[in-house]
Amino acid sequence: MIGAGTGMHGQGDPGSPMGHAQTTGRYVVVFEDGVDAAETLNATAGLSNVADSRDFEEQKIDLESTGGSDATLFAELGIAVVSVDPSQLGSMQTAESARGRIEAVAPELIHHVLPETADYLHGYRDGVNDLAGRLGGEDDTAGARAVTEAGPTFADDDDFTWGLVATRAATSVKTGEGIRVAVLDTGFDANHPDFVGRSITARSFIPGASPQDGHGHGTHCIGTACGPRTPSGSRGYGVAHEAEIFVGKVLSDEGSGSDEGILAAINWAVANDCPVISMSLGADVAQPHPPYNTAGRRALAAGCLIIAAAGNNASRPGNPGFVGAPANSPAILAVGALDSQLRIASFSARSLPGRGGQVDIAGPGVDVYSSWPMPQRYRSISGTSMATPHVAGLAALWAQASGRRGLELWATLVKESRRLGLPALDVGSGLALAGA
Amino acid sequence: MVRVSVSVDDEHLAKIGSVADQLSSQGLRVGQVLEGLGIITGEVDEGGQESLRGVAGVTSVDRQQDVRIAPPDSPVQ
Repeated sequence: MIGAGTGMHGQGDPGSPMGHAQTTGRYVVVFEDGVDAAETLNATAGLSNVADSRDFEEQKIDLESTGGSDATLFAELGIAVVSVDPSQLGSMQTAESARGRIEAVAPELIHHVLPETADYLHGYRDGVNDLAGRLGGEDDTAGARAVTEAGPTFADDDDFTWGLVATRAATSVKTGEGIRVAVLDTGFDANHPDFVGRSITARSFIPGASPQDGHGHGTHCIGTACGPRTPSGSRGYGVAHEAEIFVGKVLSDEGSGSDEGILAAINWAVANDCPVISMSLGADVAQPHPPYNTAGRRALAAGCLIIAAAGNNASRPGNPGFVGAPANSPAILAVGALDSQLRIASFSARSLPGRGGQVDIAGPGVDVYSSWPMPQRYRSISGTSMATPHVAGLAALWAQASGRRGLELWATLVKESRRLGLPALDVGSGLALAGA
Repeated sequence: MVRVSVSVDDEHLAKIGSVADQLSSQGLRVGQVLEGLGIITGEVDEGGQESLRGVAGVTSVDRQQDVRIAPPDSPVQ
């Protein structure tokens, strides 16, 4: 492994983005997509003596032979390393001719092999052990707990639920507009006043039942995924508040359903080009169920990401439970639940050892305030069922912001999530987040 | 009767209707043909799953599972 500039000093300065990094005196120029880099270097800094990677066999630049050049251009990357004086540097950073063509200019760093880490790790272990001892903890997880206890505490306030704040949905400029979000659950209360004027398509896959929610679970999940961010008379609780809502009733008012209706509803959501399909349901079955492997794989291929609850079969700390079906299918994103201090919820299921059986990501799932069928209107409940629509709503925001679908959308959620000092077995990549 | 979901392989996706016909002739009472997912649902006599597995294009035949969520008054759902 190599690291930037840490070798000489042993460690970087966490208070400064550059730390004690050493630089070469040259600069790295990052061009905007599709820009003619060589022409831009000439126009902004007057550089004409450019070694272009395309002039070398298989684009393997021979750095020995570029010594006399003012710039080395890596065409496939849209990046150049340049030797410039201060006035040329200023021109590249500020000139009108650079606008829309140069994305960034940064000092070229000197990288070193990282120093031996054994002493550091021993020191860390000793520190953790000491901390665990002081806290009265005796097991291996005490250190992780200590890290978590020092973490943030979120709370519902007049403006937003704690989950919208923790996931940064409260401040995101994205709204889910133009993105179809399917929520397959107990249906939806079509009379709920917070959803007046919204685009809602509802269909029941329960024989003899309308899409109307006679349970409450579906209305709560839809509220979290797609409800209002600024309702009148209440706090905001919906992540993708301008998404198009597709309601699939696959659970009866008594809260039960079968593969038959769920698979039909997934098929319906895929046929309707819903990039996000939220399923806060499952069976406490450890074995992945082949039909959901098939459905998840083909939904992903069609650009539709299925997001499912990991399950509530844990009873922590004694019993960590396991991820049930359908969330334990490899092609379905499994969501665990966090509380407002970003600790794992006592009921949130842990990863199974087999392929697909892992928790992939986590969301707010304890004391989640959202819509409930009238006349009650609102209610706070807990569950991986409540964490799942948070992630679904966030997926809609990323789908809108990036245009990504399917596996790319999955990767974006994972990449952009907030890492936590908790076992990946419980929270996967951590807390799902919205972009700016 | 047993309710089952039958998964169809990629090669037979385009002719899933004829796979359903074959399954029907092997004792499946076809419920739904989900073309977008390549899955056929239906009912078969107890013990009849094995003959369905022999149909060309079938990758798995699985007894349908039921899912259940907690009642509305439960604090954890």
